[in-house]
Amino acid sequence: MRSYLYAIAAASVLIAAAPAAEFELAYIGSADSASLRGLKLGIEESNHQGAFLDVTLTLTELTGKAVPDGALAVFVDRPGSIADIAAGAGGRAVFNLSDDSDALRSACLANALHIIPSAKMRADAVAQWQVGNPGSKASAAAWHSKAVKFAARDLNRRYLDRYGSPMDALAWAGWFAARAVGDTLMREPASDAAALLGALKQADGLDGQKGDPHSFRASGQLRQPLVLVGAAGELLGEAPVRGAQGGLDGLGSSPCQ
Amino acid sequence: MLRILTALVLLPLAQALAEPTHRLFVTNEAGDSVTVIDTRSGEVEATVPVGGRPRGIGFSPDRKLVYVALGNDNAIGVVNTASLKLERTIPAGSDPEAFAVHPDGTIYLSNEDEGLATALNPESGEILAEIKVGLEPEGVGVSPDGQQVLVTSESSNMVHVISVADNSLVANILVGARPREVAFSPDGKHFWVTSEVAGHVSKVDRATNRIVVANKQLRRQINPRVKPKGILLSHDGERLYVSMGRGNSIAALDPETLAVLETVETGVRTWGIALSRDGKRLYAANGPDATVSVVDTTTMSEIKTIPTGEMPWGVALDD
Repeated sequence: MRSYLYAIAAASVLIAAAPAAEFELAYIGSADSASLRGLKLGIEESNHQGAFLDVTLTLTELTGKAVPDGALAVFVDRPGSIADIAAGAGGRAVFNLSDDSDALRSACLANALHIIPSAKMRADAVAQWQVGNPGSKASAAAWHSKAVKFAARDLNRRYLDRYGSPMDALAWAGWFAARAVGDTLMREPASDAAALLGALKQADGLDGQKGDPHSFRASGQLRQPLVLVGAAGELLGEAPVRGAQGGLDGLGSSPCQ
Repeated sequence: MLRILTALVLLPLAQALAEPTHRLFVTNEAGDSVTVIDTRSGEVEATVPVGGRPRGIGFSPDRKLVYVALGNDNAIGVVNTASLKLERTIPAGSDPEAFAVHPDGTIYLSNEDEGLATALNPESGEILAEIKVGLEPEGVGVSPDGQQVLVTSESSNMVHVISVADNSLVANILVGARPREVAFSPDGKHFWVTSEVAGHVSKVDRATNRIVVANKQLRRQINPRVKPKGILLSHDGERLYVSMGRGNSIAALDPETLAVLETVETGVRTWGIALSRDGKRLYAANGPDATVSVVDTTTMSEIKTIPTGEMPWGVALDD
């Protein structure tokens, strides 16, 4: 009888197919920030994807800078501290969600991935826009809550449904970082922290729900389209502006120094 | 038992096709209408108002009806292929985007904002099943033997394989980012899938549900703006036609190797495609251009453009 029960147990394990994998990720920053809200939505959407593949992501919110040994990557919303945190992260991928410093890009830190656009990227986007719209008081950002093209409509709706507030650029940066990690881990579930960082740097078709594929430059900056925003906060258009040279790299390339 | 009897009765009926009208039906996503083109004259015959945000389009098995997915109306619109009357709309769950019609008449559709695939009986209006899939489900395909349904989830980057017998998920296949559409080989041994953001076309073996070959170099081989969307196999199985979205073209790929054989420039954001019964004409919707391109497949050249309503999305040809 006992051996019969064991046989049933073994069979049910076999039916469960691939072994479940769980990956721990960490967050350093304010407990009440748009970037954290976006990050949590991105983790939830990665777990929706992972539910079909027996992969789960967990997020630990840290109070200090000490990263737990088990964490595969760290998301950071703490402007001015990225270089410091990256240096102490033991080679793990450190996602910069909010610091737009150009010098930080030019430093080309081996394990920093900058999701938020640099100041120079935004300035180049505005300059492209002003060629066709002289005198226009525009600014540029990673995201706009009223964007509908490509699949922006869908992501804006999901964020609004989840939080009751519109999705801004910081929220998008958090969401994208979590989805980039999630989608990469789904494909390479055996990854350690170094393999994950390598796979992220190699990825050339990441989906930011902004149309063009996203990828990382040698500086660690995410290549991405931007939105142009008017003085009253209204959505004006997208950059690269049609006809501008250089494609996505026409927006703020920062050579390594 | 009743189901089996129904299937036996329905199948012979399904083969009794209506006389072809030679009409091309085009959904106008922003025009809330369907443009009807007489493909023999190449002229627009009618514009039929259908309701909010029509995208996916396809025929009933007997081709007497054209179904359109009305995302903003949460319904499937039913247009009579011959009279061009909008006969009725069928509630279809939230935000239906695309669908495929099973040979038994069941409509399998994707509910984009709910992460669901829905099986709908268009005659009774009964929702037969709702299957949880990934985020932003889009392309739907029914296998040639009618036993499986594929649904792509655009934001979860998967092709879900659903068993028709019990509406269960039998596999979830990760593919390149933003999978859009699927096409089957006639023997059912393979399917191909387009990945819009990744820029890939992949071929999947259905026995193992694994990718056996993928072309990830389409942007280098065609142009940097390529975004693969529509996909169909030529009737002789020799060519896989893929629309390239903002790549503003259609490519003919080798179905085995996925190598690019030929390309033809079409309009802006080439989206849904359809192939004539004789295999000589491809029709493609160019969204922002508000046109349909007519392509001669023997020379791979665009021979005509035909105006449509606003933002044409999908095409279906009754020939």
